[in-house]
Amino acid sequence: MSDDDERGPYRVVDDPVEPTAEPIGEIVLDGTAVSLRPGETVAAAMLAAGRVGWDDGRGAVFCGIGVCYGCLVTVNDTPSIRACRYVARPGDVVTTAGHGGTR
Amino acid sequence: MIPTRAADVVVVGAGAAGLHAAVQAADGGASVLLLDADVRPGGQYHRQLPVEFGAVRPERAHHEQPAAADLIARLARHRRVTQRQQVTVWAAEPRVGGGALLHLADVSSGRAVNAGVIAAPRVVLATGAYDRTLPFPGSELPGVYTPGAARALLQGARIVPGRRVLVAGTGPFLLPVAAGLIEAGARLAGVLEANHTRGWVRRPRAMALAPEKVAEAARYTATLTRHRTRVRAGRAVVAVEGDGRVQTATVAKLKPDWTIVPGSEKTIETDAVVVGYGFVPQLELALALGCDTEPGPDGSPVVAVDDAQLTSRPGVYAAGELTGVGGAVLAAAEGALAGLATALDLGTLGERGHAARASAWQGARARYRRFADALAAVYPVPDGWQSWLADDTVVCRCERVRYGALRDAVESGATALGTVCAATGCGQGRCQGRSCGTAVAGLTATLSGVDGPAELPDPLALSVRPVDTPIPLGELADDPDRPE
Ligand SMILES: Cc1cc2nc3c(=O)[nH]c(=O)nc-3n(C[C@H](O)[C@H](O)[C@H](O)COP(=O)(O)OP(=O)(O)OC[C@H]3O[C@@H](n4cnc5c(N)ncnc54)[C@H](O)[C@@H]3O)c2cc1C
Ligand code: FES
Repeated sequence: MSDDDERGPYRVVDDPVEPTAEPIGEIVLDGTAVSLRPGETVAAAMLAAGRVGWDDGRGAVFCGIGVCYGCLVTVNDTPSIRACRYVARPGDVVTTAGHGGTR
Repeated sequence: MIPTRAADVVVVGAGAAGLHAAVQAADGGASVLLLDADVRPGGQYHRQLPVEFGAVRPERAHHEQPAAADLIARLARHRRVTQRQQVTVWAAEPRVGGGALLHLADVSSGRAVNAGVIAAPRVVLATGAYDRTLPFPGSELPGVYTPGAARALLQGARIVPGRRVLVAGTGPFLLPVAAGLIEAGARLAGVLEANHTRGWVRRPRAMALAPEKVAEAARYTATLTRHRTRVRAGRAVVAVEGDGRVQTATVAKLKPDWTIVPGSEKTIETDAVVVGYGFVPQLELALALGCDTEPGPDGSPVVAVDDAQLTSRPGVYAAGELTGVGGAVLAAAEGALAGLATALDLGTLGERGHAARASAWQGARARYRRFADALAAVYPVPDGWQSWLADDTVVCRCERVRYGALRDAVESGATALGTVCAATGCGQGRCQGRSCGTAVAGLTATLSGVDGPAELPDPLALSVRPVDTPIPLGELADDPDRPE
Protein backbone atom coordinates (compact mmCIF):
# COMPACT_ATOMS: atom_id res chain seq x y z
CA MET A 1 0.00 0.00 0.00
CA SER A 2 3.01 2.26 0.42
CA ASP A 3 2.96 4.82 -2.35
CA ASP A 4 6.71 4.56 -2.71
CA ASP A 5 8.63 1.50 -1.64
CA GLU A 6 11.95 3.29 -1.59
CA ARG A 7 10.81 5.79 0.99
CA GLY A 8 8.96 5.98 4.22
CA PRO A 9 8.33 3.87 7.27
CA TYR A 10 8.10 0.12 7.37
CA ARG A 11 7.62 -2.75 9.79
CA VAL A 12 10.89 -4.31 10.92
CA VAL A 13 11.72 -7.26 8.66
CA ASP A 14 13.21 -10.47 10.06
CA ASP A 15 12.61 -8.89 13.43
CA PRO A 16 15.21 -9.97 16.00
CA VAL A 17 12.55 -9.89 18.74
CA GLU A 18 10.81 -12.71 16.86
CA PRO A 19 7.18 -11.69 17.08
CA THR A 20 4.77 -14.58 16.69
CA ALA A 21 1.54 -12.62 16.31
CA GLU A 22 -0.27 -12.56 13.00
CA PRO A 23 -2.20 -9.55 11.74
CA ILE A 24 -5.56 -9.48 13.52
CA GLY A 25 -7.56 -7.87 10.78
CA GLU A 26 -7.82 -4.54 9.08
CA ILE A 27 -8.84 -0.99 9.69
CA VAL A 28 -10.32 1.21 7.00
CA LEU A 29 -8.09 4.20 6.38
CA ASP A 30 -9.72 6.82 4.15
CA GLY A 31 -11.59 4.07 2.37
CA THR A 32 -8.64 1.68 1.98
CA ALA A 33 -8.14 -1.48 4.04
CA VAL A 34 -4.91 -1.46 6.04
CA SER A 35 -3.59 -4.42 7.99
CA LEU A 36 -3.42 -4.30 11.75
CA ARG A 37 -1.22 -6.09 14.23
CA PRO A 38 -2.45 -6.74 17.75
CA GLY A 39 -1.85 -3.97 20.27
CA GLU A 40 -0.85 -1.42 17.69
CA THR A 41 -2.02 2.17 17.59
CA VAL A 42 -3.76 3.84 14.65
CA ALA A 43 -0.55 5.85 14.14
CA ALA A 44 1.51 2.66 13.85
CA ALA A 45 -0.93 1.14 11.37
CA MET A 46 -0.98 4.35 9.32
CA LEU A 47 2.81 4.59 9.18
CA ALA A 48 3.18 0.92 8.35
CA ALA A 49 0.82 1.57 5.44
CA GLY A 50 3.01 4.44 4.24
CA ARG A 51 0.72 7.28 5.36
CA VAL A 52 3.36 9.72 6.61
CA GLY A 53 1.38 12.93 6.25
CA TRP A 54 -2.25 13.87 5.70
CA ASP A 55 -4.45 16.96 5.65
CA ASP A 56 -2.01 18.83 3.37
CA GLY A 57 0.87 17.89 5.61
CA ARG A 58 -0.75 19.33 8.74
CA GLY A 59 -1.41 15.86 10.00
CA ALA A 60 1.63 13.76 10.87
CA VAL A 61 3.14 11.79 13.70
CA PHE A 62 5.76 13.98 15.37
CA CYS A 63 6.14 13.38 19.13
CA GLY A 64 4.67 9.86 19.14
CA ILE A 65 3.65 10.16 22.79
CA GLY A 66 0.51 12.27 22.85
CA VAL A 67 2.13 15.67 23.42
CA CYS A 68 2.00 17.51 20.07
CA TYR A 69 -1.54 16.79 18.80
CA GLY A 70 -0.13 16.60 15.27
CA CYS A 71 -1.64 13.19 14.59
CA LEU A 72 -5.35 13.97 14.99
CA VAL A 73 -7.79 11.85 12.96
CA THR A 74 -11.44 10.87 13.09
CA VAL A 75 -12.10 7.31 14.27
CA ASN A 76 -15.58 5.83 13.81
CA ASP A 77 -17.09 9.33 13.56
CA THR A 78 -15.38 10.62 16.71
CA PRO A 79 -13.17 13.57 15.71
CA SER A 80 -9.84 14.71 17.18
CA ILE A 81 -8.46 11.34 18.20
CA ARG A 82 -4.71 11.22 18.77
CA ALA A 83 -3.68 8.41 16.44
CA CYS A 84 -0.52 7.77 18.47
CA ARG A 85 -2.51 7.14 21.64
CA TYR A 86 -5.43 5.09 20.42
CA VAL A 87 -5.04 1.32 20.15
CA ALA A 88 -6.83 0.32 16.97
CA ARG A 89 -9.47 -2.40 16.78
CA PRO A 90 -10.22 -4.42 13.66
CA GLY A 91 -12.92 -2.71 11.67
CA ASP A 92 -12.19 0.79 12.96
CA VAL A 93 -12.89 3.41 10.30
CA VAL A 94 -10.17 6.06 10.31
CA THR A 95 -10.73 9.26 8.36
CA THR A 96 -8.23 12.08 7.94
CA ALA A 97 -9.13 15.72 7.56
CA GLY A 98 -8.41 15.65 3.84
CA HIS A 99 -11.02 12.90 3.41
CA GLY A 100 -13.92 14.24 5.40
CA GLY A 101 -12.51 13.66 8.88
CA THR A 102 -11.99 16.36 11.48
CA ARG A 103 -8.79 17.29 13.25
CA MET B 1 -19.50 15.02 45.30
CA ILE B 2 -17.00 14.03 47.95
CA PRO B 3 -13.98 12.53 46.24
CA THR B 4 -13.33 8.96 47.28
CA ARG B 5 -10.08 8.24 49.04
CA ALA B 6 -8.24 6.17 46.53
CA ALA B 7 -5.37 4.65 48.48
CA ASP B 8 -2.70 5.62 51.02
CA VAL B 9 -0.47 6.65 48.15
CA VAL B 10 -1.32 7.62 44.57
CA VAL B 11 1.54 7.49 42.07
CA VAL B 12 1.09 9.46 38.84
CA GLY B 13 3.17 8.03 36.00
CA ALA B 14 4.44 4.47 35.50
CA GLY B 15 7.91 5.18 34.11
CA ALA B 16 11.12 4.23 35.88
CA ALA B 17 10.34 6.62 38.74
CA GLY B 18 6.68 5.74 39.23
CA LEU B 19 7.21 1.97 39.02
CA HIS B 20 9.88 2.09 41.72
CA ALA B 21 7.84 4.45 43.88
CA ALA B 22 4.85 2.11 43.72
CA VAL B 23 6.80 -1.03 44.55
CA GLN B 24 8.69 0.52 47.47
CA ALA B 25 5.60 2.15 48.96
CA ALA B 26 3.66 -1.11 48.69
CA ASP B 27 6.50 -3.23 50.08
CA GLY B 28 6.64 -0.71 52.91
CA GLY B 29 3.02 -1.46 53.75
CA ALA B 30 1.07 1.26 51.95
CA SER B 31 -1.88 0.68 49.65
CA VAL B 32 -0.97 2.16 46.28
CA LEU B 33 -2.88 3.35 43.23
CA LEU B 34 -0.64 3.69 40.17
CA LEU B 35 -2.04 5.79 37.33
CA ASP B 36 -0.52 6.15 33.88
CA ALA B 37 -1.69 7.80 30.69
CA ASP B 38 0.06 5.46 28.30
CA VAL B 39 -1.25 2.21 26.87
CA ARG B 40 1.28 0.12 28.79
CA PRO B 41 3.40 0.82 31.89
CA GLY B 42 7.11 1.56 31.43
CA GLY B 43 7.29 5.23 30.47
CA GLN B 44 9.90 6.40 27.98
CA TYR B 45 12.87 4.26 28.80
CA HIS B 46 11.17 1.03 29.82
CA ARG B 47 8.64 1.10 27.00
CA GLN B 48 7.18 -2.39 26.54
CA LEU B 49 6.17 -4.21 23.38
CA PRO B 50 2.50 -5.17 23.31
CA VAL B 51 2.21 -8.62 24.91
CA GLU B 52 -0.05 -9.54 22.02
CA PHE B 53 3.02 -9.36 19.74
CA GLY B 54 4.13 -12.62 21.30
CA ALA B 55 7.78 -11.63 20.95
CA VAL B 56 10.01 -14.62 21.67
CA ARG B 57 13.09 -12.42 22.27
CA PRO B 58 11.78 -9.12 23.70
CA GLU B 59 15.20 -8.42 25.23
CA ARG B 60 16.44 -7.73 21.72
CA ALA B 61 14.20 -4.65 21.54
CA HIS B 62 16.13 -3.25 24.48
CA HIS B 63 18.53 -4.97 26.85
CA GLU B 64 16.68 -3.71 29.92
CA GLN B 65 13.28 -4.82 28.74
CA PRO B 66 13.28 -8.06 30.79
CA ALA B 67 14.19 -6.30 34.05
CA ALA B 68 11.45 -3.74 33.50
CA ALA B 69 8.99 -6.48 32.56
CA ASP B 70 9.80 -8.28 35.84
CA LEU B 71 9.17 -5.14 37.84
CA ILE B 72 5.89 -4.53 36.03
CA ALA B 73 4.81 -8.14 36.59
CA ARG B 74 5.68 -7.88 40.28
CA LEU B 75 3.51 -4.81 40.62
CA ALA B 76 0.66 -6.52 38.82
CA ARG B 77 0.77 -9.34 41.41
CA HIS B 78 1.24 -7.07 44.43
CA ARG B 79 -1.84 -7.28 46.60
CA ARG B 80 -1.50 -3.70 47.82
CA VAL B 81 -1.13 -2.19 44.35
CA THR B 82 -3.94 -1.20 41.99
CA GLN B 83 -2.81 -0.17 38.55
CA ARG B 84 -4.69 1.73 35.88
CA GLN B 85 -3.36 2.48 32.42
CA GLN B 86 -4.76 5.00 29.95
CA VAL B 87 -5.82 7.29 32.76
CA THR B 88 -4.57 10.87 32.63
CA VAL B 89 -4.51 13.08 35.68
CA TRP B 90 -5.59 16.21 33.84
CA ALA B 91 -5.71 18.59 36.79
CA ALA B 92 -4.75 18.62 40.45
CA GLU B 93 -5.55 20.81 43.42
CA PRO B 94 -4.17 20.84 46.94
CA ARG B 95 -6.08 18.72 49.45
CA VAL B 96 -6.79 19.99 52.94
CA GLY B 97 -4.56 17.98 55.27
CA GLY B 98 -1.96 17.30 52.57
CA GLY B 99 -1.69 15.51 49.28
CA ALA B 100 -3.94 16.33 46.38
CA LEU B 101 -7.29 16.02 44.74
CA LEU B 102 -6.68 14.48 41.35
CA HIS B 103 -8.98 14.93 38.37
CA LEU B 104 -8.92 11.85 36.16
CA ALA B 105 -9.71 11.31 32.52
CA ASP B 106 -10.01 8.01 30.69
CA VAL B 107 -8.02 8.32 27.46
CA SER B 108 -8.50 4.80 26.10
CA SER B 109 -10.76 6.12 23.34
CA GLY B 110 -8.00 8.42 22.09
CA ARG B 111 -9.79 11.36 23.66
CA ALA B 112 -9.96 12.40 27.25
CA VAL B 113 -13.23 11.53 28.94
CA ASN B 114 -13.93 12.75 32.45
CA ALA B 115 -13.42 9.97 35.00
CA GLY B 116 -14.02 11.75 38.28
CA VAL B 117 -11.95 13.09 41.15
CA ILE B 118 -10.04 11.14 43.76
CA ALA B 119 -8.44 12.19 47.01
CA ALA B 120 -4.79 11.29 47.51
CA PRO B 121 -3.48 11.88 51.04
CA ARG B 122 0.01 11.30 49.61
CA VAL B 123 0.81 11.67 45.94
CA VAL B 124 4.03 10.87 44.10
CA LEU B 125 4.29 12.88 40.88
CA ALA B 126 6.40 10.90 38.39
CA THR B 127 5.21 12.43 35.13
CA GLY B 128 8.58 12.36 33.37
CA ALA B 129 9.55 14.52 30.44
CA TYR B 130 9.04 14.88 26.72
CA ASP B 131 11.45 15.76 23.93
CA ARG B 132 12.60 19.35 23.61
CA THR B 133 12.17 20.41 19.99
CA LEU B 134 13.56 23.39 18.12
CA PRO B 135 12.17 24.72 14.85
CA PHE B 136 14.21 24.86 11.64
CA PRO B 137 13.15 25.48 8.03
CA GLY B 138 10.92 22.59 7.02
CA SER B 139 10.67 21.08 10.50
CA GLU B 140 6.88 20.94 10.23
CA LEU B 141 7.08 18.53 7.27
CA PRO B 142 5.79 14.99 7.74
CA GLY B 143 8.79 12.73 8.19
CA VAL B 144 10.34 14.77 10.99
CA TYR B 145 10.09 12.91 14.30
CA THR B 146 11.26 13.37 17.86
CA PRO B 147 13.60 10.73 19.28
CA GLY B 148 10.77 9.81 21.65
CA ALA B 149 8.53 9.09 18.66
CA ALA B 150 11.21 6.98 16.97
CA ARG B 151 11.68 5.07 20.19
CA ALA B 152 7.94 4.63 20.74
CA LEU B 153 7.43 3.38 17.18
CA LEU B 154 10.35 1.01 17.35
CA GLN B 155 10.03 -0.26 20.90
CA GLY B 156 6.26 -0.16 21.02
CA ALA B 157 5.31 -1.20 17.50
CA ARG B 158 8.47 -2.42 15.69
CA ILE B 159 8.23 0.25 13.03
CA VAL B 160 11.23 2.01 11.50
CA PRO B 161 10.36 5.57 10.42
CA GLY B 162 12.23 5.55 7.10
CA ARG B 163 14.57 3.85 4.66
CA ARG B 164 17.42 6.30 5.28
CA VAL B 165 17.02 7.72 8.74
CA LEU B 166 18.97 10.75 9.90
CA VAL B 167 19.36 11.05 13.70
CA ALA B 168 20.36 14.49 14.99
CA GLY B 169 20.20 16.88 17.91
CA THR B 170 22.11 16.81 21.15
CA GLY B 171 22.50 14.59 24.17
CA PRO B 172 23.45 11.07 25.17
CA PHE B 173 19.94 9.76 24.55
CA LEU B 174 20.34 10.03 20.78
CA LEU B 175 22.70 7.04 20.98
CA PRO B 176 20.21 4.41 22.14
CA VAL B 177 17.77 5.62 19.49
CA ALA B 178 20.36 5.27 16.72
CA ALA B 179 21.60 1.91 18.03
CA GLY B 180 18.04 0.60 18.39
CA LEU B 181 17.28 1.50 14.79
CA ILE B 182 20.42 -0.21 13.55
CA GLU B 183 19.71 -3.34 15.56
CA ALA B 184 16.29 -3.49 13.94
CA GLY B 185 17.98 -3.47 10.54
CA ALA B 186 17.42 0.19 9.63
CA ARG B 187 19.80 2.12 7.39
CA LEU B 188 20.99 5.37 8.89
CA ALA B 189 21.84 8.41 6.81
CA GLY B 190 23.90 9.70 9.74
CA VAL B 191 24.05 10.44 13.46
CA LEU B 192 24.79 14.09 14.18
CA GLU B 193 25.59 15.59 17.60
CA ALA B 194 25.36 19.37 17.56
CA ASN B 195 27.82 19.91 20.38
CA HIS B 196 31.54 19.63 19.79
CA THR B 197 31.91 17.07 22.48
CA ARG B 198 33.78 13.81 22.30
CA GLY B 199 31.14 12.66 24.75
CA TRP B 200 31.07 12.31 28.50
CA VAL B 201 32.38 8.79 28.19
CA ARG B 202 35.81 10.33 27.85
CA ARG B 203 35.39 12.37 31.00
CA PRO B 204 36.92 10.33 33.80
CA ARG B 205 34.93 12.05 36.56
CA ALA B 206 31.59 11.52 34.89
CA MET B 207 32.56 7.91 34.17
CA ALA B 208 33.31 7.20 37.80
CA LEU B 209 29.88 8.52 38.76
CA ALA B 210 27.90 6.41 36.37
CA PRO B 211 29.50 3.04 35.62
CA GLU B 212 26.17 1.56 34.45
CA LYS B 213 25.71 4.33 31.91
CA VAL B 214 29.31 4.03 30.70
CA ALA B 215 28.77 0.36 29.99
CA GLU B 216 25.49 1.17 28.29
CA ALA B 217 27.00 3.88 26.09
CA ALA B 218 29.89 1.60 25.18
CA ARG B 219 27.39 -0.99 24.06
CA TYR B 220 25.53 1.49 21.84
CA THR B 221 28.77 2.80 20.37
CA ALA B 222 29.88 -0.76 19.61
CA THR B 223 26.62 -1.38 17.76
CA LEU B 224 27.16 1.75 15.69
CA THR B 225 30.78 0.85 14.97
CA ARG B 226 29.85 -2.67 13.91
CA HIS B 227 27.62 -1.08 11.31
CA ARG B 228 30.23 1.44 10.21
CA THR B 229 28.31 4.34 11.65
CA ARG B 230 29.77 6.91 13.94
CA VAL B 231 28.48 9.96 15.68
CA ARG B 232 29.66 13.11 13.91
CA ALA B 233 30.02 15.93 16.40
CA GLY B 234 29.57 19.64 15.78
CA ARG B 235 26.95 19.04 13.07
CA ALA B 236 23.22 19.53 12.81
CA VAL B 237 20.24 19.30 10.52
CA VAL B 238 19.61 22.98 9.79
CA ALA B 239 16.78 22.52 7.27
CA VAL B 240 14.73 19.81 5.57
CA GLU B 241 13.11 19.96 2.19
CA GLY B 242 10.48 17.95 0.36
CA ASP B 243 7.21 17.93 -1.47
CA GLY B 244 4.67 17.15 1.24
CA ARG B 245 7.18 15.06 3.19
CA VAL B 246 10.87 15.00 3.96
CA GLN B 247 13.03 14.13 0.95
CA THR B 248 16.33 15.84 1.70
CA ALA B 249 18.04 17.45 4.65
CA THR B 250 20.56 20.25 4.79
CA VAL B 251 23.25 19.39 7.29
CA ALA B 252 25.95 21.81 8.35
CA LYS B 253 28.95 22.14 10.60
CA LEU B 254 28.34 24.30 13.62
CA LYS B 255 30.52 26.68 15.56
CA PRO B 256 30.46 26.11 19.31
CA ASP B 257 27.67 28.70 19.61
CA TRP B 258 25.69 26.68 17.05
CA THR B 259 25.81 29.24 14.26
CA ILE B 260 26.59 27.62 10.91
CA VAL B 261 30.18 27.42 9.65
CA PRO B 262 29.77 29.33 6.35
CA GLY B 263 29.96 27.12 3.29
CA SER B 264 29.67 23.89 5.26
CA GLU B 265 26.08 23.10 4.24
CA LYS B 266 25.49 19.85 2.41
CA THR B 267 22.28 18.31 1.10
CA ILE B 268 21.73 14.66 1.82
CA GLU B 269 18.92 12.32 0.87
CA THR B 270 16.76 11.08 3.69
CA ASP B 271 13.14 10.19 4.28
CA ALA B 272 13.00 10.41 8.07
CA VAL B 273 14.71 12.91 10.30
CA VAL B 274 14.75 12.13 14.02
CA VAL B 275 15.77 15.23 15.90
CA GLY B 276 15.72 16.23 19.57
CA TYR B 277 17.50 18.66 21.86
CA GLY B 278 17.09 17.09 25.28
CA PHE B 279 13.97 16.96 27.38
CA VAL B 280 11.39 19.22 28.98
CA PRO B 281 10.07 18.01 32.35
CA GLN B 282 6.25 17.73 32.59
CA LEU B 283 5.65 20.14 35.45
CA GLU B 284 1.95 20.90 34.99
CA LEU B 285 0.59 18.96 37.95
CA ALA B 286 3.38 20.08 40.27
CA LEU B 287 2.79 23.70 39.28
CA ALA B 288 -0.95 23.32 39.72
CA LEU B 289 -0.30 22.09 43.27
CA GLY B 290 1.92 25.09 43.97
CA CYS B 291 5.17 23.16 44.31
CA ASP B 292 8.29 25.33 44.31
CA THR B 293 10.64 25.01 41.37
CA GLU B 294 14.37 25.62 41.04
CA PRO B 295 16.79 25.73 38.11
CA GLY B 296 17.61 22.19 37.02
CA PRO B 297 20.93 20.83 35.72
CA ASP B 298 20.49 22.64 32.38
CA GLY B 299 19.09 25.83 33.91
CA SER B 300 15.46 25.20 33.02
CA PRO B 301 13.00 24.85 35.90
CA VAL B 302 12.43 21.57 37.73
CA VAL B 303 10.45 20.67 40.85
CA ALA B 304 12.40 21.33 44.05
CA VAL B 305 12.48 18.37 46.48
CA ASP B 306 14.12 17.53 49.80
CA ASP B 307 15.99 14.35 50.80
CA ALA B 308 12.73 12.42 50.97
CA GLN B 309 11.68 13.65 47.48
CA LEU B 310 9.03 15.76 49.25
CA THR B 311 8.14 18.98 47.43
CA SER B 312 7.36 22.27 49.14
CA ARG B 313 3.73 21.08 49.53
CA PRO B 314 2.73 18.65 52.28
CA GLY B 315 2.08 15.12 51.08
CA VAL B 316 3.23 15.91 47.54
CA TYR B 317 6.34 14.03 46.42
CA ALA B 318 8.09 14.24 43.05
CA ALA B 319 10.53 11.83 41.40
CA GLY B 320 12.20 11.25 38.05
CA GLU B 321 12.66 13.59 35.13
CA LEU B 322 10.49 16.35 36.60
CA THR B 323 13.07 16.99 39.32
CA GLY B 324 15.86 17.17 36.71
CA VAL B 325 16.73 15.07 33.67
CA GLY B 326 19.33 12.48 34.61
CA GLY B 327 18.37 9.17 33.04
CA ALA B 328 16.59 6.04 34.13
CA VAL B 329 18.85 5.05 37.04
CA LEU B 330 18.36 8.41 38.73
CA ALA B 331 14.62 8.29 38.07
CA ALA B 332 14.44 4.81 39.62
CA ALA B 333 16.40 5.86 42.71
CA GLU B 334 14.29 8.96 43.24
CA GLY B 335 11.12 6.97 42.75
CA ALA B 336 12.19 4.32 45.25
CA LEU B 337 13.08 6.97 47.83
CA ALA B 338 9.76 8.76 47.33
CA GLY B 339 7.93 5.47 47.77
CA LEU B 340 9.84 4.63 50.96
CA ALA B 341 9.19 8.13 52.32
CA THR B 342 5.43 7.73 51.86
CA ALA B 343 5.47 4.44 53.80
CA LEU B 344 7.51 6.07 56.57
CA ASP B 345 5.04 8.95 56.70
CA LEU B 346 2.12 6.54 56.83
CA GLY B 347 3.78 4.69 59.71
CA THR B 348 3.73 1.23 58.15
CA LEU B 349 7.50 1.41 57.73
CA GLY B 350 9.61 2.27 60.80
CA GLU B 351 12.66 4.55 60.92
CA ARG B 352 15.05 1.60 61.04
CA GLY B 353 13.47 -0.29 58.19
CA HIS B 354 13.36 2.88 56.16
CA ALA B 355 17.02 3.65 56.74
CA ALA B 356 18.05 0.13 55.79
CA ARG B 357 16.08 0.16 52.55
CA ALA B 358 16.90 3.73 51.58
CA SER B 359 20.67 3.80 51.88
CA ALA B 360 21.60 2.11 48.60
CA TRP B 361 19.12 4.25 46.68
CA GLN B 362 20.47 7.39 48.35
CA GLY B 363 23.96 6.54 47.14
CA ALA B 364 22.78 6.00 43.59
CA ARG B 365 20.78 9.21 43.66
CA ALA B 366 23.74 11.28 44.82
CA ARG B 367 26.03 9.86 42.14
CA TYR B 368 23.54 10.26 39.36
CA ARG B 369 22.63 13.80 40.33
CA ARG B 370 26.26 14.75 39.86
CA PHE B 371 26.26 12.79 36.62
CA ALA B 372 23.20 14.76 35.47
CA ASP B 373 25.06 18.01 36.12
CA ALA B 374 28.02 16.70 34.12
CA LEU B 375 25.72 15.75 31.24
CA ALA B 376 24.10 19.16 31.18
CA ALA B 377 27.52 20.78 30.99
CA VAL B 378 28.56 18.56 28.08
CA TYR B 379 25.32 19.01 26.11
CA PRO B 380 24.18 22.64 26.37
CA VAL B 381 21.73 24.24 23.93
CA PRO B 382 23.28 27.60 22.97
CA ASP B 383 20.98 29.90 21.02
CA GLY B 384 22.84 29.87 17.69
CA TRP B 385 20.02 27.64 16.35
CA GLN B 386 18.01 30.84 16.04
CA SER B 387 20.21 31.86 13.09
CA TRP B 388 19.01 28.82 11.11
CA LEU B 389 15.49 30.26 10.82
CA ALA B 390 14.09 32.14 7.83
CA ASP B 391 11.10 34.48 7.87
CA ASP B 392 8.75 31.75 6.68
CA THR B 393 10.02 29.07 9.08
CA VAL B 394 7.14 27.61 11.07
CA VAL B 395 7.84 28.20 14.75
CA CYS B 396 4.52 27.00 16.23
CA ARG B 397 3.38 23.77 14.62
CA CYS B 398 -0.22 23.87 15.85
CA GLU B 399 -1.09 27.37 14.69
CA ARG B 400 1.48 27.51 11.88
CA VAL B 401 2.97 30.75 13.19
CA ARG B 402 6.06 31.75 11.24
CA TYR B 403 9.24 33.33 12.50
CA GLY B 404 8.52 36.59 10.63
CA ALA B 405 5.21 37.02 12.45
CA LEU B 406 6.87 36.46 15.80
CA ARG B 407 9.55 39.04 15.00
CA ASP B 408 6.93 41.55 13.83
CA ALA B 409 5.05 41.11 17.11
CA VAL B 410 8.15 41.75 19.18
CA GLU B 411 9.13 44.72 17.01
CA SER B 412 5.72 46.26 17.51
CA GLY B 413 6.25 46.19 21.24
CA ALA B 414 5.32 42.78 22.58
CA THR B 415 8.15 41.61 24.80
CA ALA B 416 6.44 39.62 27.54
CA LEU B 417 6.03 36.03 26.47
CA GLY B 418 2.30 36.06 27.17
CA THR B 419 1.78 39.13 24.98
CA VAL B 420 3.78 37.61 22.14
CA CYS B 421 1.75 34.41 22.35
CA ALA B 422 -1.53 36.31 22.41
CA ALA B 423 -0.48 38.46 19.43
CA THR B 424 0.81 35.61 17.26
CA GLY B 425 -1.11 32.52 18.34
CA CYS B 426 2.08 30.77 19.40
CA GLY B 427 1.38 28.35 22.21
CA GLN B 428 -2.39 28.80 21.82
CA GLY B 429 -2.96 25.64 19.83
CA ARG B 430 -3.86 22.18 20.96
CA CYS B 431 -0.45 21.34 22.40
CA GLN B 432 -0.57 24.48 24.56
CA GLY B 433 3.01 25.36 23.81
CA ARG B 434 4.54 22.02 24.71
CA SER B 435 6.13 21.74 21.26
CA CYS B 436 7.14 25.37 20.71
CA GLY B 437 7.57 26.66 24.27
CA THR B 438 11.35 26.52 24.48
CA ALA B 439 11.78 28.05 21.02
CA VAL B 440 9.24 30.83 21.40
CA ALA B 441 10.61 31.84 24.79
CA GLY B 442 14.18 31.85 23.45
CA LEU B 443 13.34 33.78 20.29
CA THR B 444 11.32 36.34 22.24
CA ALA B 445 14.18 36.89 24.66
CA THR B 446 16.66 37.41 21.82
CA LEU B 447 14.43 39.61 19.67
CA SER B 448 13.42 41.84 22.55
CA GLY B 449 16.98 42.12 23.79
CA VAL B 450 15.90 40.95 27.22
CA ASP B 451 18.63 38.93 28.83
CA GLY B 452 17.20 35.62 29.74
CA PRO B 453 19.36 32.85 31.05
CA ALA B 454 22.09 32.83 28.41
CA GLU B 455 21.71 29.26 27.31
CA LEU B 456 18.24 28.04 27.91
CA PRO B 457 15.18 30.18 27.81
CA ASP B 458 12.78 29.72 30.66
CA PRO B 459 9.79 27.69 29.50
CA LEU B 460 8.16 27.98 32.90
CA ALA B 461 5.82 30.71 31.75
CA LEU B 462 4.38 28.35 29.20
CA SER B 463 4.08 25.36 31.47
CA VAL B 464 1.57 26.90 33.86
CA ARG B 465 -1.47 25.27 32.37
CA PRO B 466 -4.60 24.69 34.38
CA VAL B 467 -5.52 21.54 32.48
CA ASP B 468 -3.02 18.85 31.74
CA THR B 469 -4.79 17.38 28.74
CA PRO B 470 -7.25 19.65 27.01
CA ILE B 471 -10.70 18.32 27.64
CA PRO B 472 -13.42 19.97 25.62
CA LEU B 473 -16.14 21.22 27.94
CA GLY B 474 -18.68 19.11 26.09
CA GLU B 475 -16.76 16.04 27.10
CA LEU B 476 -16.70 17.04 30.72
CA ALA B 477 -20.45 16.66 30.51
CA ASP B 478 -19.79 13.35 28.75
CA ASP B 479 -21.26 14.64 25.54
CA PRO B 480 -19.79 12.59 22.70
CA ASP B 481 -21.36 14.77 20.03
CA ARG B 482 -19.95 18.11 20.96
CA PRO B 483 -19.55 20.43 17.97
CA GLU B 484 -15.98 21.16 16.89
C1 LIG C 1 14.10 8.99 23.07
C2 LIG C 1 14.54 8.80 24.49
C3 LIG C 1 15.66 8.06 24.77
C4 LIG C 1 16.10 7.89 26.07
N1 LIG C 1 17.17 7.12 26.30
C5 LIG C 1 17.61 6.93 27.56
C6 LIG C 1 18.72 6.10 27.83
O1 LIG C 1 19.29 5.50 26.93
N2 LIG C 1 19.15 5.95 29.10
C7 LIG C 1 18.51 6.58 30.12
O2 LIG C 1 18.93 6.40 31.26
N3 LIG C 1 17.46 7.37 29.91
C8 LIG C 1 16.99 7.57 28.64
N4 LIG C 1 15.92 8.39 28.40
C9 LIG C 1 15.41 9.22 29.46
C10 LIG C 1 14.21 8.58 30.05
O3 LIG C 1 13.10 9.38 29.75
C11 LIG C 1 14.37 8.48 31.52
O4 LIG C 1 15.56 7.92 31.90
C12 LIG C 1 13.27 7.68 32.20
O5 LIG C 1 12.31 7.21 31.29
C13 LIG C 1 12.65 8.63 33.17
O6 LIG C 1 11.69 8.00 33.90
P1 LIG C 1 10.49 8.81 34.51
O7 LIG C 1 9.76 7.81 35.31
O8 LIG C 1 10.96 10.03 35.19
O9 LIG C 1 9.60 9.34 33.29
P2 LIG C 1 8.96 8.62 32.04
O10 LIG C 1 9.65 7.38 31.69
O11 LIG C 1 8.80 9.67 31.01
O12 LIG C 1 7.50 8.19 32.56
C14 LIG C 1 6.50 9.11 32.84
C15 LIG C 1 5.16 8.42 32.71
O13 LIG C 1 4.17 9.29 33.25
C16 LIG C 1 3.04 9.28 32.44
N5 LIG C 1 2.35 10.54 32.65
C17 LIG C 1 2.83 11.80 32.41
N6 LIG C 1 1.94 12.72 32.76
C18 LIG C 1 0.86 12.03 33.24
C19 LIG C 1 -0.41 12.45 33.76
N7 LIG C 1 -0.73 13.73 33.89
N8 LIG C 1 -1.29 11.49 34.13
C20 LIG C 1 -0.97 10.17 34.02
N9 LIG C 1 0.22 9.73 33.55
C21 LIG C 1 1.11 10.66 33.16
C22 LIG C 1 3.59 9.09 31.05
O14 LIG C 1 2.61 8.55 30.18
C23 LIG C 1 4.76 8.14 31.29
O15 LIG C 1 4.35 6.81 31.16
C24 LIG C 1 15.42 8.53 27.11
C25 LIG C 1 14.28 9.28 26.84
C26 LIG C 1 13.81 9.39 25.55
C27 LIG C 1 12.56 10.18 25.28
S1 FES D 1 2.24 12.33 17.39
FE1 FES D 1 2.20 13.92 18.84
S2 FES D 1 0.25 13.65 19.73
FE2 FES D 1 0.36 11.96 18.39
